[in-house]
Amino acid sequence: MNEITPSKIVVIHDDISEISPIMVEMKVKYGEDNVILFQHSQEGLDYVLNNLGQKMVVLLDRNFHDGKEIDGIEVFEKIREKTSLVYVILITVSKISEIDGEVLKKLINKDLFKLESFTSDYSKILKLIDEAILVLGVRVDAVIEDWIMRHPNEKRDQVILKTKEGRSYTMNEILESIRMQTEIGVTFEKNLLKLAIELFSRQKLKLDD
Amino acid sequence: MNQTNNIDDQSLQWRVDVNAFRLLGRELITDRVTAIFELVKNCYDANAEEVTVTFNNVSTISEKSEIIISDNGTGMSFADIRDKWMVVGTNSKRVKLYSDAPYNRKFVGEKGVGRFAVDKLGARVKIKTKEKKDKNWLCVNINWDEYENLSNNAVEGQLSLFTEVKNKYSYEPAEVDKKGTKIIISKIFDKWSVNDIERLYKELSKLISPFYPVNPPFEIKIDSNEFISYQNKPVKPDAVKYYSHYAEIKYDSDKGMQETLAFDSKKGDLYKMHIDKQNFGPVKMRIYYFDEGAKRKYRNAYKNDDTRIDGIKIYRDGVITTPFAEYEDHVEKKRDILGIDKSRYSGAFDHVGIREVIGVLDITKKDNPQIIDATNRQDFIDTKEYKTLKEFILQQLDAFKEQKKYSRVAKRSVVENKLIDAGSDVKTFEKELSKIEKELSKTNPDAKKNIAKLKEQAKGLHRVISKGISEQKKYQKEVERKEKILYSIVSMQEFASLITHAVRTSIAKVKHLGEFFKLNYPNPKFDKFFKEYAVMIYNEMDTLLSVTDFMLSFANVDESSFEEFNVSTLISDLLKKQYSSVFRKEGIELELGLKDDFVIETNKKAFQDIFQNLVSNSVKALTNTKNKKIKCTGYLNTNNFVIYFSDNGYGLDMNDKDWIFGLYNTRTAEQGGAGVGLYVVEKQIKALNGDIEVVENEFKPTGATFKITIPFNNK
Repeated sequence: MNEITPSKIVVIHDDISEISPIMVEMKVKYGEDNVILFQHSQEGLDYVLNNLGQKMVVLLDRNFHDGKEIDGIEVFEKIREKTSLVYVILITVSKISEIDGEVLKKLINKDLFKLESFTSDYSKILKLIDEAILVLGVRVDAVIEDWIMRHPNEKRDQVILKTKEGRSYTMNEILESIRMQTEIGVTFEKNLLKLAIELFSRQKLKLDD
Repeated sequence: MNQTNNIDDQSLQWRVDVNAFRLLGRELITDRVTAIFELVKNCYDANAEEVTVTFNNVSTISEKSEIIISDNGTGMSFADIRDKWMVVGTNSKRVKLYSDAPYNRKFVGEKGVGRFAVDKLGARVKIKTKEKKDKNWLCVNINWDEYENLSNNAVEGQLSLFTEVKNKYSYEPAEVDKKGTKIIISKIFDKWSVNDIERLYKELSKLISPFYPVNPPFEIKIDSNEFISYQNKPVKPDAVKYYSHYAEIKYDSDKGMQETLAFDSKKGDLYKMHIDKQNFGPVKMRIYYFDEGAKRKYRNAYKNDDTRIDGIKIYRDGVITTPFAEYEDHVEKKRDILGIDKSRYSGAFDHVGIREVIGVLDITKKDNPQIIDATNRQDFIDTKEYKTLKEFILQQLDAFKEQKKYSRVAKRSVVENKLIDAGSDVKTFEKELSKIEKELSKTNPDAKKNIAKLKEQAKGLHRVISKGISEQKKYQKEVERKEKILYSIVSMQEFASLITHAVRTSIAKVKHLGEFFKLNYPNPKFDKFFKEYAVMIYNEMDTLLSVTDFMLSFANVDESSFEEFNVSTLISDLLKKQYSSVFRKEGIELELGLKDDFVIETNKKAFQDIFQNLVSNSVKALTNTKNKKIKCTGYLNTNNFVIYFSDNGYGLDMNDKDWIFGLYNTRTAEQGGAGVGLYVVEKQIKALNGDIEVVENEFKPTGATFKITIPFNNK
């Protein structure tokens, strides 16, 4: 129960195919089932939004050849509208100087995890994915999400928290507020950390005794 | 100094040096017109219906010089002044978006810095304010010069704190129902000339929409006791004059349709069309366009100042929206909020830029709730609705762009026609003279000499005009040639960027394949990939080669490669002779129906490329078809030579009919399609001023048909 579920790598890119070197390497490294490719941006976005409970790192292309596809920046924004817990690595063939300043500002302000050039070594991109998985594993909010998601659905609808003001929250509500980083979500995270530290120091005292 | 010393309780606190007043006012607000503009915006936010900016004795600096901004807004209570106005950084407007009912005005003032704007104007400020319920005017005196003195005379080691300067207040009796705020600035720093006041007038006049009545009203007046033209002068939006074209669109609420502009290139007129209600809600828009002549007139009338021609602005409920309310003195620094200048209108000649139009777009809080000012005031929140609105505005400018293009061509032919008319007039004159000469030769031989002279002069004149016409034509050709070069440079830029991205993508793919070899070879686990990757590298390189070949064909176009040839002959030679063996081998039946002859002068090799690419696509598409057919027909119509090229292969999805002409766009990547061929075809045809499109296919149920149109006048 305490083991953290593996993260899924969601690749949304129309210049990467199932047999591209990066896909082959990732499947070896993270397991065949944990790497999913979408060559159409809308399909990739739908997958991410329908699986928010899953820990995910998204490798996202910025431009799609087909003008009808929604572009990477929009996919990123749509993901951010729903959650701050999915890490997105944007891959582009453009040079950074070619990206509009406003777009860059948006990417930074909405917490893009990394930006990398498609012309870089794929091993460099793999390192970024490793980094994202590592950070996801130690991020308090991500760990809480993971913990909540491992409960059966009916349990997640039961009240687990009551505030001093008398409001009560189910696990699902807490999860939602953590994803959206609302006040209650942030407070919950802070309290949990406090509790963890307190428990840890008590433990220490005990050990010292 | 009475400094707080908290050493005992083990804590420290921030204090603010007296110098802070400079940071807040003088350095934050860069210009004195902006300073007043900010103060007036605050009056609007305070629900004022009237505001007067009074300039007394400001043409020279004296004890009597003062600037007064007075309004009849809600005014401030003592508590407001103490707890809000005089607390740095507070801004009640941040908490609320709208002012109190019944006004419900969207706040336009700066984020709590407007009040420091006064420091830009003068050293002494008296604020006189009263809420309706209060009995007296509350008067607060702020002497910035005392702050200045403290700051300048600071003794080393001693702190002077901003928050410790005492500002005196007192009460003055008032009439019961009076309310409002008066800011009286004296010891002014700079003289104000009539031009400075005019500059202020111009800025203030933009605050309110010229077309939408603000209700309840917000009226601004400027009053000067020195400049007659500004004695109690109401600030009204300037009537737009001297424009060359004007259009207005609105929302037709009866039909539930939005009007939009289009251009009729036959009649040469702008006209309105109805489209469905847009997602951003109903809007009303007026656009004044200034052609070169109109701009000249405008500059003459306004002493070379055409900064008022400053693009399209959005007003909400009659008041300028915050992104447009930021005053910027230098036109060049003005931000192009709607992205008009950097939009897709990159055509060199027919671009309609923000310096050519004045436009007002009226929206309302009620009907356009999704057009939201961003909190940083620099832009609007990038909602779906705002995106469509921007696109809608650009579409309106598109109509003016067409208009501009039309006028440019029309103007050209007027000059040419006038010259031709003059030529024929002289010719008639010559003929008439010959007639007179004949008649006079019998009756008046002396007159004949004179007439001969006249005839000679007329001939000379005719020669001059003929020369003029041919010069004009040459000049016209030269202009067209230059235009063409400029256009091609513009499209080359776009082309270069597209190609570079495509090439970079290809290189990245090859690099990744190579990297895989570098890292894994000869690991037997990956054996099946090594072989596959070698093929992929080979194919990718092939694609790269065809792209670079195409680039070279662009680079190598020179005059000598142009020749005259008959299109019908060329196509039938190509398909019947050059491809006969291929068609035989593949079992393809060829059907040719080229009716008319059409001779053009162009790059023959490039023209052949078009058909080679089409044939090569068809051959691929026919691989698995049973009765393979390729059909090519062509005929002349009024203006064009039209060619249909079809096959009965696997065909293409009509949803892709535009997309397939994009570089690297292919649905046949697995069969080695690189997505280069049709891109090349389209570019070559466009270079002939022609067009290619996918039309309903001739060989239903499978197959594809391309329609190519090449105009007679393809230069």
